[in-house]
Amino acid sequence: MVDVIFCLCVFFMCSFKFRETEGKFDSWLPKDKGEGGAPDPGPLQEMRVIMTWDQTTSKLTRQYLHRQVKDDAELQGIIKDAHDDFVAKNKPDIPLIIDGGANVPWKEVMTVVNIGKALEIKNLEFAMGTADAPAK
Amino acid sequence: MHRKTKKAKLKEDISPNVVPMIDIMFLLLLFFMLGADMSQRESIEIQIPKAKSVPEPKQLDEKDKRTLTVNIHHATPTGAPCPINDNGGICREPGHWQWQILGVDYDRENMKKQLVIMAQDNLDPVEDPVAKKKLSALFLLVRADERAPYGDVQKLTEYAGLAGIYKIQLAANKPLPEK
Repeated sequence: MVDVIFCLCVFFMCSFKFRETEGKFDSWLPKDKGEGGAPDPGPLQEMRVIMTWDQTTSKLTRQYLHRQVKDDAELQGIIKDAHDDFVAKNKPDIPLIIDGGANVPWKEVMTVVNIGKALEIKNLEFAMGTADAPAK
Repeated sequence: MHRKTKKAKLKEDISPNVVPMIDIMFLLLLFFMLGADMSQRESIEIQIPKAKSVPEPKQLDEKDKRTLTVNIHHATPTGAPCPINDNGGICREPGHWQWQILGVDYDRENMKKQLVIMAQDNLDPVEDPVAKKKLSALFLLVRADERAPYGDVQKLTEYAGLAGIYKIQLAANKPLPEK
């Protein structure tokens, strides 16, 4: 009996795996846009991150409006400055728009979502249907 | 005579007491059995993106939610290996990214139909004043592999919106604390 319990113990110990906690970001779709809805007039001011993926070089290009961004820290700094600026102007609801090409890896999109959430930006939007352009 | 019986008694006491060891083994067994996850899961084993700011799930809130989980994972249609993906690259071969509900892969058209069926089965009883129609009360949890194309998530979200599912949730892993 001891042998059997010992074998079972070894089996469960070997198959045991610590899992990372899986959470989820809530992201409600707009009810008054899209098919049958009113056309979107578009925000007058925005924080837009444009991402393109070049499959031949496996290279991601990120831009904040027209400015090329090198890394996450720089992007976070730029978005933070812009958001703080809008908050100071009493416009905290100006959205952070994630405008990614269809081939951009999902991880890169979530990185920007994570930055937005870390900066407590309430209004995050996903732009739809932008084509990938080759990285320059 | 008296000495002999004492010697015999001493000999009997030499055998080790295994009871505490068995107790500990039982406890270990119980811990690992309870810790093992053998249930059939909605979520398959995929590498979902990490995000430090993702809120941790609250068990009490989750009870009342009707959630449909869609996994976006890499799998070739024939089951043949994909050298790009297998070597850690970003595969963008058409047809290599599958959409899955409860272990069943759906193509784009069938997923669109499935979402409509699920949305209709879980309609909110009250008409939404903004959308001016009954929307679905269903939550759509998108569990996409970190290397999956963003276009697939966009398409899935678009189909959900057309089906009347507007409560979308994006799965992310909270990284383990650094030592």
